[in-house]
Amino acid sequence: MKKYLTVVGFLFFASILTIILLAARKNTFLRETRENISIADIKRPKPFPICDEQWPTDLVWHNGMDQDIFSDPKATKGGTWNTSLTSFPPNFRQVGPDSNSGFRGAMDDNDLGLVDVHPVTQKLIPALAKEWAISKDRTIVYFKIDPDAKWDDGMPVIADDFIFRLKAMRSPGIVAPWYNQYYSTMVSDILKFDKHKIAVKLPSPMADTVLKAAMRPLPYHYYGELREIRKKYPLSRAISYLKRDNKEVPPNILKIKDEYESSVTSAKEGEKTPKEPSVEITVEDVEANWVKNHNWKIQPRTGPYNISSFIKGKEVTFERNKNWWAKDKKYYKNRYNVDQIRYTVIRDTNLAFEKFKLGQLDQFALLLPNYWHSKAKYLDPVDRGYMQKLWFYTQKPEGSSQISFNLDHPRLKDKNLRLGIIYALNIQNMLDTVLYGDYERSETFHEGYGEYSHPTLKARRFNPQKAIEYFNKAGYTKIARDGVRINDKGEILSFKILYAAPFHTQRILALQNEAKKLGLHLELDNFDTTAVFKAMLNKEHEIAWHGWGAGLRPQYRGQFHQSFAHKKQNNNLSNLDDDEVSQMIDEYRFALDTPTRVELAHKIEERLFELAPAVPTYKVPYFRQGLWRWVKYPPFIATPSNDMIMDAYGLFWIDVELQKEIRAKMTKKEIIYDIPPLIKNTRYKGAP
Amino acid sequence: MNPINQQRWQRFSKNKMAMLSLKIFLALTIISLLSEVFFNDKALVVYYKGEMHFPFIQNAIPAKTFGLENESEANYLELQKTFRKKPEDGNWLMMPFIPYHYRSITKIDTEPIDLQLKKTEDFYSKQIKELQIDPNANKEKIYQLKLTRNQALGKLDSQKYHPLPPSLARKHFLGTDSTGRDILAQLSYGYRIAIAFAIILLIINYIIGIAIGCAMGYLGSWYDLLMQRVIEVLSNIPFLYIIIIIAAILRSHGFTMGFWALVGIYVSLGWMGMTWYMRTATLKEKSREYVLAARAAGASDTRIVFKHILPNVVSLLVTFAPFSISGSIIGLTSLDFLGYGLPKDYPSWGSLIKLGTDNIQAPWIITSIVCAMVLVLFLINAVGEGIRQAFDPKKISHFE
Amino acid sequence: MLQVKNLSTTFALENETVCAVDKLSFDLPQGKTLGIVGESGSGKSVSALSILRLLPRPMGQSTGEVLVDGKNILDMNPEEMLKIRGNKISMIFQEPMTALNPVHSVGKQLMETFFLHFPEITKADAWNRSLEMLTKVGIPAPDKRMHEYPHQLSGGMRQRVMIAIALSCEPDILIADEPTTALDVTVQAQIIQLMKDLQKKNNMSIIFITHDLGVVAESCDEVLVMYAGRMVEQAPVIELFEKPSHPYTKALMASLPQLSQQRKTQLQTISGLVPSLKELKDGCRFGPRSGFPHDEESLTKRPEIQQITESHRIEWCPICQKALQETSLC
Repeated sequence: MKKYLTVVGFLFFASILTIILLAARKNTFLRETRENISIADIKRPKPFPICDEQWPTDLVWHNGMDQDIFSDPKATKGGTWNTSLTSFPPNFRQVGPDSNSGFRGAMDDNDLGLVDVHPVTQKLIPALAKEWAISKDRTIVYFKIDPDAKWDDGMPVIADDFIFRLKAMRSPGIVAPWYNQYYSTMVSDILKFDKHKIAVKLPSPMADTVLKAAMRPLPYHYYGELREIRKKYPLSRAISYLKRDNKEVPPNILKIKDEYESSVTSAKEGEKTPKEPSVEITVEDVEANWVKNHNWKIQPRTGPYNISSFIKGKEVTFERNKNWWAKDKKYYKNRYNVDQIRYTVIRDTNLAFEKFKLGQLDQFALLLPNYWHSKAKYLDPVDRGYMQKLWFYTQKPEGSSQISFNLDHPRLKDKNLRLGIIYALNIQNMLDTVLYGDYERSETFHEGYGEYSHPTLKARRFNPQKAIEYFNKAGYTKIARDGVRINDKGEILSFKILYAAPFHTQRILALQNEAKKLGLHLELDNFDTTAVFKAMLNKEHEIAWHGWGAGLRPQYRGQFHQSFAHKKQNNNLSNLDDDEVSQMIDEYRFALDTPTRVELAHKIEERLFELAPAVPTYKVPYFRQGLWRWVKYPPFIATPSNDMIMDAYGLFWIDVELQKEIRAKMTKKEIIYDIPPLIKNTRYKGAP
Repeated sequence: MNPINQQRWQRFSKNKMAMLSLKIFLALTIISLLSEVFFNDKALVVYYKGEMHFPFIQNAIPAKTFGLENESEANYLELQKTFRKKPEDGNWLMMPFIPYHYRSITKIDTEPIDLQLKKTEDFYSKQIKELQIDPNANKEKIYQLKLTRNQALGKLDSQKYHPLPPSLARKHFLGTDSTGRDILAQLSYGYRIAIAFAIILLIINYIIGIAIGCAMGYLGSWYDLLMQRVIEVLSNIPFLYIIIIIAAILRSHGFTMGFWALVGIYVSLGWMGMTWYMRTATLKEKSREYVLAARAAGASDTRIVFKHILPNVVSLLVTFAPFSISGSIIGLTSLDFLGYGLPKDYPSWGSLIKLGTDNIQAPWIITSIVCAMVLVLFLINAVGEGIRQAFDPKKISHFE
Repeated sequence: MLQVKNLSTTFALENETVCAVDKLSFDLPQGKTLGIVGESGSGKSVSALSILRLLPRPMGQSTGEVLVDGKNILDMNPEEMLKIRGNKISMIFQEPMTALNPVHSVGKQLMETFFLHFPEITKADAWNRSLEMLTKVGIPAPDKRMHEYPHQLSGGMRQRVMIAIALSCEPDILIADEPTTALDVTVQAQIIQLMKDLQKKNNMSIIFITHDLGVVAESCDEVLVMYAGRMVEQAPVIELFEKPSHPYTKALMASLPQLSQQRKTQLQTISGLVPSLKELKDGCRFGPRSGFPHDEESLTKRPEIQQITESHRIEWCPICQKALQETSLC
């Protein structure tokens, strides 16, 4: 017995010791660093041919140098920015399967485009292009690439890198059908005139021409030459690809096409149309197994930072490029000041908040009302003057939060019923009680888009009298058990409201409670986030509570166009099938001049208000955060386009000396006086 | 009663801890079963113009009936206030012990708080202004004063929003949650659902487990082998994934995850536990001579299983029951905590724990639910332990 | 009444089949008692179970014929079998403690047989008849005992209850499998007397299985001696005790203690053990233990059954027979 216990005990402690040892050395074992290749070793691929066309001489060139700078000259370099990720990215690729993770933005922010948008005035400013011009028919945009522009491995950015991007994005090897489609239809060609002169050809004149043509390059020297492969495509796509590549359609394919077309026309009515045949064509492709090979490779970038090392599953570190080509350019000077950005994976928000309070993270978003008003109400570091809370109103396109009715639902087809429900939703009460009164009511579906947003339209407010009036009109005249209304057919006025985020439960509970008093029962329907999104896209909901992200301009097509109604897997969650709206959306999409587009946008909003397929709920026109005192920012705090103090604009800096000082004071619990603990900036509040 | 059972009951009742636990447990269960009487926003009795109404068991009574203007159901707390204003009418109503249902959201009257906020702010601002005018005052003092002012204002301001701390005056004995619902009412209604879930699950699991387990043990041969493999496969299915998948399938067919769906899923993946025990017990019992004797007397197989073998293994079933109940309660609670359980507007202990951990700055939420949970699980396990000892009085011992 | 013809019972073990009862035949006339004697493992109990088809399934298999009123039990379907058991043929077991269900009261177990075989009987009727049965088997204060549980009764009482259960449907045949072995001697005598009385009343036949020759002498009309699954000798009880013919029967008789013997003399035993069922050969099975040298042929060829007198049958191998005759001549 004793012997047995000794052996078991020994094995137990030995295994624990091994685990501890392994865990302690894990960091050094698993950290992977980016390889450094000297510029002399880089193989230069075969350059793309120069086009036959002539560089036009009668163009009007813009350089965007007349805008104000938006950075602070007092900024100093240095320090490390510590921030958190909720999950580790599945790969470091720009495209391909599973590349669209939350971390993508952090990498894409360091890939400059040809031009950029000024965060205050929304005008174009130069980035990789020094100058640009638009052809008279507005289908070609000419760019002069900045000769200083360099990749962070030292190679210059040249015209070939843009052509390579176009070809790579069209290739099947990246396994990204959306990109294949987009780069085949939205950009027709890129012409190379010399090393630093290119022209981007668009398929048709479009609004915001330069931005549509302002591509980002892909390092040709890094990914290497393209190869030709044979690949099978459906007939029509194969022909469109051949035309896109300026290739002749071979006679055998033409023959197949003729045969197919004649069989389609000769097919009798009621018969199944014959299946479209597939043909094999030659296309250009990136290297074999591109997706697999580049999962964890770190490509050269043109931006200020690039990944320097990472521990899979735990941490990614970005390092500032000390010799960044744009560091002294007008709009880039004094920006991107910290030396390192370290993303650590912290899966739980509460844990991240605790780490922030200990100073392990430099900033923390306090956007959610319960954080701002309750959890972060009293923070010891704030009272002692180590930390600051900031509330900054911004002015940028708002993501749209709304409640959509599924118009394919037999009962929700009735507009009276929808109006009754809308009038029974006490959104203001929800904002006042659950959200501490600090989100704002959205009036339309697109707010914060400047002149595009409707200036006078007001969303329907809670109105008990009207709600009852419309419920009666819809036939729900009697009150049944539990105070819920009922119609003559015995149908109960009860609908399922589907939503994704578990922390929205209390918001909907507040709505439910008020609606119940008017005889409307809202049944809460919430589940696993991904499952909920899938159910919404498949139109399995009765009422959906959801939100859309913001774009540069209002987007109506995806959400309200009739071509998406009654079909699965798209964003028309209300299944709105209205000819007038669809027609206006089509006009809006192809209209060129801003006034027409603005007018159409207003008209669409008015028509949507009338139809009531959905109702806008609230907007959050500000950011709120806590940040440590060593994080410095310009006197104007932030631009109206900022997401937070620390974001892609990189206007902040870290005062390393102050950081040391505060950390020393933290151990002694010494109070720093005379620093405002809370800043509320309303400079950009309200309509512009 | 069977003298063996009598003896068992005697042994059980001698176990003071188990007896006390059983009494408290039964009391709690009865209270929660009668939640509508104890925790309700509907009045128990309303006496209006010479007529008696019993709203808590009646259908919704429109407020018009009681002379209010609203067409929808009456708000009895407000009705009480109007009645009290006019005692000469002779109308009265009686509210339950706690006048909140689990789903009733308490509205906070912000006006007096706003008034107080303003007063406090004026009070401090005056002082600060005086100090600022005074050239001798030091900066630190002003700063300190500002901090105290902010804290005082913050304290007042937090009374304007839920969650509110426990208070006797407001009749929120355990406070409110972040939506404004009473915690105690939620605990009671949530307990009722949890215990109903556990007992229904126990019954169905036992029925299936006994039927299949006995058949496995009694019939043996290929049936036993086949069922063993089936059970092994089923018990290795990851539970959470199945729940997510089944919920997705249910939704695409127009159903939501409700109480019964959850019971169904739990049963379909949880009936295996009992079969193993039943199989072993039946295997052991079927070789006993009384089974042979019963067969010799002409009893059929089903009769032997249900009339002869089953009564002999019933002690096993009874001993397992309390632990199975506490297991089901934990299961439902953790599923709710993860957000894959009951619909979100159901009262549930799991979502209360979630609320509590999310609002750790309001410690009364998490304290209440954790205490309730620990208490109930302790009671059930104490009863279970008592039963086990009563059925099997052997002392733990081992050979040298 | 009961005819058993060539009854063989085999057990399928993991990788072989053993024969526990080998071509057993006998007749049981009405109102008579047949004793089956033999050492442990000679196949007495198995043949009894085979008659009622109570062998463990699916390993046990019986062939041959068991005729009750001319019908072969072995060909019956399970439903018909249920009507035979407890009704036509009853059985009582060696250990009354385990053969009674510990969780049911005596009354409940008694009544069950009535419910099984007379589905339309009322509860009160069943109760009264059970009470009557208990009185019949001589249990004092039966209405009190009806409420009691097996563990509250003494061994003799339990066996009486077992007998009451077995006889409640007035079966034609009672198989008693060592009913007195677990009881002490005074109780043994009572139980045997009780069985005799009840046999007279009901005019039933009894198969009395035992290894106790004393009990056989006391209670049986006819005796069948079994050895290693086979009948070796069958004769009326007096004839067998007076003139045992088969060497095994003789050895069995010799091993009985005699009052006339001097004290402290060693008891005579049969040398060797009952052979394991797995290593049985077809020939004379008692051969190796008989003390007579057997040749290969006699050990592999099954001996024939000889009818010595009208009621005396014996399975004799020629060598044993010869050797016995020689010894008797001396």
